[in-house]
Amino acid sequence: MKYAYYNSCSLRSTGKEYDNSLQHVFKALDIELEEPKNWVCCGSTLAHNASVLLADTLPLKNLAEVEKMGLDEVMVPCTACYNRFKIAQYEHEDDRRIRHEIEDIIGHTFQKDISVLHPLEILALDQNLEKLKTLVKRDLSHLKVVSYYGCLLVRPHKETQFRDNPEYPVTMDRILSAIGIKTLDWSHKVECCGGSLSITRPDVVLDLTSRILDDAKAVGATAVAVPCTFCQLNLDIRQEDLAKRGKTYDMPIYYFTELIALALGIPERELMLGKHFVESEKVLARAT
Amino acid sequence: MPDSNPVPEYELLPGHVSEFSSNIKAMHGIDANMCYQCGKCTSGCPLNEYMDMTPTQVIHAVRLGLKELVLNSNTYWLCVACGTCTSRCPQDTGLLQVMDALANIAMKEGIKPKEPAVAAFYRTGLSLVKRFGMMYEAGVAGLLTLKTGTLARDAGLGIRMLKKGKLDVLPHSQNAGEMKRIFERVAQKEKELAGS
Repeated sequence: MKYAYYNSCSLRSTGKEYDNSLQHVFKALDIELEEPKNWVCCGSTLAHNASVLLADTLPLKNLAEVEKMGLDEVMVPCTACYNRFKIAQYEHEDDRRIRHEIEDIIGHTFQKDISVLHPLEILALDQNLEKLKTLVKRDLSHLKVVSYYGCLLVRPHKETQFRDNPEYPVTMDRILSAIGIKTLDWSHKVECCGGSLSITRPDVVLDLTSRILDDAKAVGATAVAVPCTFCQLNLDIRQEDLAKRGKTYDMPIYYFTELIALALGIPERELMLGKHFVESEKVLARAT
Repeated sequence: MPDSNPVPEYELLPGHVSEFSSNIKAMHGIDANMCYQCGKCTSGCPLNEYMDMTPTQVIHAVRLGLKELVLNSNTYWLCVACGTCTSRCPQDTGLLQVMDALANIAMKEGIKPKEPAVAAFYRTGLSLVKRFGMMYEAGVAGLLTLKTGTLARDAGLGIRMLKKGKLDVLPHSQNAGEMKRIFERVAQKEKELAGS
């Protein structure tokens, strides 16, 4: 099994530990990942505000690179990229005129549809879930985790078509449960953390992140699992600022792939948990 | 709500489709007239409390052609495209795309942004993406801090990220030549489409 792997900007900087843990998990599952050579930035949060045409062109340029690799499935771990890829595909399908203009700009005519998948969708496939269960080496059943999905993966659902319920998704919960990690019900699974306002309106972001962390704490979570580099950074780095406002959480924020890697017995030293702002290793040790 | 010139009464007739609204429909495929003002977008919007016009008011104002009022609001600058409005809209109106359309128009027409830092973030970020082919986080943060004069506030955040090795000080280049060509061709194509 092999997927094209859009290992984009954020996975090379703020989310290095996401890329690292993801590679460990897919290696354990014996699934090959290959980066497209001539990829470019997908335009993320920036492009659609300045030019919708640019915002549709950049993802399709990357999908053209996937098609040139001879593959028809691409794994996109960054939710901002995933969202833009899916929206561009949706609008491209919907509007023949745009399709023609963009193919002209990127100098590529699509022969087939490329399937854009988030690693959650791939890991939740029956065969992968079954295999993951057989690979579990470490008991992490003492953790109480809330799965936080955020916005970009699930919304707008007509466009992203993420294979789950957009208001109360359970994919991450299913995967974590399968490998022996308890997940809790809570009400802030798909609330927005304010990601793209992080450096421009930190006041707003502090309000939004504190509401999410309040709910996690209220249901008794000892950790949060996330599938998104913006959510991870925001929920993690802002806890120091929230503590100054009198709100102390000490809530470790893991990429879901880090938790899976840990359950598969990959030692802490091979992961990059030290990159988290909130200390994330103590909670992993079982009280004896 | 921002002060603006009083609206002539004839422009507020029910069912009236304004030129502004028609232009947005032509350029972005969004029909503001589909909205029946149920308010679900506003009730779900996480940024609503910080906005000077609610999303429901914005789409109504677009329909009425109150271009100046809408473009001078902070609503579309604060929109983080979380998609709650659009996902829950019973009329499938596509408010997310209305927000994009407004930001696109404001940036092209040089409207003075109600949230200058957000506008500067988009411009600075995109210019770096164009130059390097990929995002250069430290560069965006640094340039933005200089432009908006928030050095004292942001330096702490940047330093914390640098210490954790979450920011690379120097930019990386990724297929930058081709990226530059794509930006230029998109700009060219937009001119053609606007003229047609």
